[in-house]
Amino acid sequence: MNPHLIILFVILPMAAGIVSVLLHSFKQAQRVVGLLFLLANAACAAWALATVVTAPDAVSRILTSQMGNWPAPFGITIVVDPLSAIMLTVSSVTCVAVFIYCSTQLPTRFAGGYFYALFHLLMMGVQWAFITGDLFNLFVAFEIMLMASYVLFVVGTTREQVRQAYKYILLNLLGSTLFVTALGWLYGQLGTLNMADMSRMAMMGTLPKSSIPVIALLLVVFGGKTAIFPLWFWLPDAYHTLPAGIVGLFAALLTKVGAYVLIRVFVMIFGPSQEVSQVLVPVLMISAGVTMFLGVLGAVSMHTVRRILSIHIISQVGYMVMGIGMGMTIGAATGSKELAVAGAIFFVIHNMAVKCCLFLCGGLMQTHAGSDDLDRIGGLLKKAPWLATLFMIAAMSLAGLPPLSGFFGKFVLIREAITQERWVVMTFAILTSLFTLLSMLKIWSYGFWSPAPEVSLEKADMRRAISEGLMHERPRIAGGMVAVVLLVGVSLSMGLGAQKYLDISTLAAQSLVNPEPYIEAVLGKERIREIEASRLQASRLTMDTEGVR
Amino acid sequence: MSTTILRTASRFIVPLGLLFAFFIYFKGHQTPGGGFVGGLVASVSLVVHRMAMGGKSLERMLPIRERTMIAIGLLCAVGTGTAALFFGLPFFTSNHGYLSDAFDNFEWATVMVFDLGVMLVVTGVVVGMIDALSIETEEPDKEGSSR
Repeated sequence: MNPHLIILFVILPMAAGIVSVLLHSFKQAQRVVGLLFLLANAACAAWALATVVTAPDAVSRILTSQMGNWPAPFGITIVVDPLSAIMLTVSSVTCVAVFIYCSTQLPTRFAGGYFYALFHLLMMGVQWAFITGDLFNLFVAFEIMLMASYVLFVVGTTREQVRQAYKYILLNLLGSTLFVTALGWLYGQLGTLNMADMSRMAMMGTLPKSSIPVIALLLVVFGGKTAIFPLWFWLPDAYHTLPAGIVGLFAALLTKVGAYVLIRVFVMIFGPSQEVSQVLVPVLMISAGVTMFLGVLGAVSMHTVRRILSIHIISQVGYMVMGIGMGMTIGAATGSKELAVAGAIFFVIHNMAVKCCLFLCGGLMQTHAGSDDLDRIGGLLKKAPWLATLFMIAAMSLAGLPPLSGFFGKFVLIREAITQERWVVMTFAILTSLFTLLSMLKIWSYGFWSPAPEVSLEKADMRRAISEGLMHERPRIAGGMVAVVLLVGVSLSMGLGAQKYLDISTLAAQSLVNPEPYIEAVLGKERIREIEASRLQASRLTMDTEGVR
Repeated sequence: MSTTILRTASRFIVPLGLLFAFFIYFKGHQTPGGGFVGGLVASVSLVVHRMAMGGKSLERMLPIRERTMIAIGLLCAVGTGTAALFFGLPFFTSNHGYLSDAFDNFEWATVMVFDLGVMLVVTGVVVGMIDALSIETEEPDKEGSSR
């Protein structure tokens, strides 16, 4: 793959978005064109992953392109390394599934207008975040992603949606303000926002002490986006108001981008710096434990499918943060760090597919029964046996039963927790797994297993759901099933071919825990030396002037 | 809003404003100006036209809808960047040169297409937003709210 072609991951969704705007009045055409673009995008992602994985050595595993031919660290760099390639592949496949679901299940008034354009633009922001090589462009990518999500939040305009969207937008605006403030501050101290360049400074130990609070501020920003404790309060209220297709998209992409950024920024860029790790690792570990445990307790206490799954997103983020924290631990063996990060990566991609799949299942349950309130429905096992089977596979995968994908993610993470003797967080991780199983079984037993309620509220519920814009007037369930089957397929392949996926994740983790090849691929050997010399000179100059004073 | 004075003046202001917008756009490559400012100036003249002559007249004057304008503008911008890929260069690599003496050695650059895209997007966004907001405040039977 010609490395310059990696920009296609931004061009393709953007072009798809533009074409959707041009085809504004032709819904069917928007669906077809959008699906074609998404398939092309997924093919490109698979191609990039194949290129990256089969490359002969660590440096050539990293594809870089300098926008406008301006050299790094001065220009805009985009990079596809193994981590980006994995994230791109899994997210693009998930998006294909969600797109199919949305085009068949979403009510007409959602799907009209600019829904498909926004879908593509959201994806553009997400994919840009995956390939960007500097923090400022990450900010821009976040903004694109968030702006699309703001509109998708209110696209159905029920009263409840607008009320929750107001909170969501306000909090995210606050987050963005903090983000850009932190970036300005960081740029003032380091003179660069290029990821490779910052990582180089962290490796050499030349990060100024005063930059540590700023880096901690970045953790607050990304923590808010990822919804980790104590910054997760916005998520459960906001997500459950949305129809299943959109919330599936958000669950698959938004918080996972946050997790990706946490891995990228804290493991790769600042991980090599001892001072930063010293401050951040305890914070990350405590936050991970509390996030996963409180999240799952919240999920168990809820009684509608979408609410259970929404709060559950938070709990799953805890596992990812746990892996990140263990990947930054000072004094741990490199192999153990790599495995912990690989576990986190595996967990992120597993979660992308499975969580999204469960939301889509929840949506289909509502299509069958008119509601997703567990008190009002039941007997779906007889009514929709296939949906029940697929839901069971996805739910057990989320709970982490072998041989499904969730098991391997948790297995690696818990094993590394034992290696690093982190008993408390390990206990929480196992307890959380049990409660996850409980919350999934709750949906199973109330929704599928129990007999259908005697007084059927189905008709009334269905009317209400349609008027609230949560359901299509004449839903085509087959389309939704295709999406669910696709996602369950991804999850099964991750469970049955776990070794393959873990190998690739480990490859990605290696280039994160030891970012030297990344730095070399982005900055070049010569550039490193040049920058080194100029920095040395600068430091001499400041020493001289200090001497004069 | 529509008075005889404004209506008469707008006949002069609108073409001059549009011309000035293009002047700023061409000037912008090396000196202050460019697609963004040019787009703002162009949209101000279009808005003046709307104030004087009404929304219907603006609709007749514009050959395309605002959202189409935005989409075409974005396509220009993406297209400029993508063109470099066909020459095996990174996205957004630009090229430039000079026209002959007859054109006063005018310096052209591929970035100008990008800038034209910016101009179209800005014009489309501003005119479209003001149009949409004005329709809300105007009487529905006069303008029709089915845009």
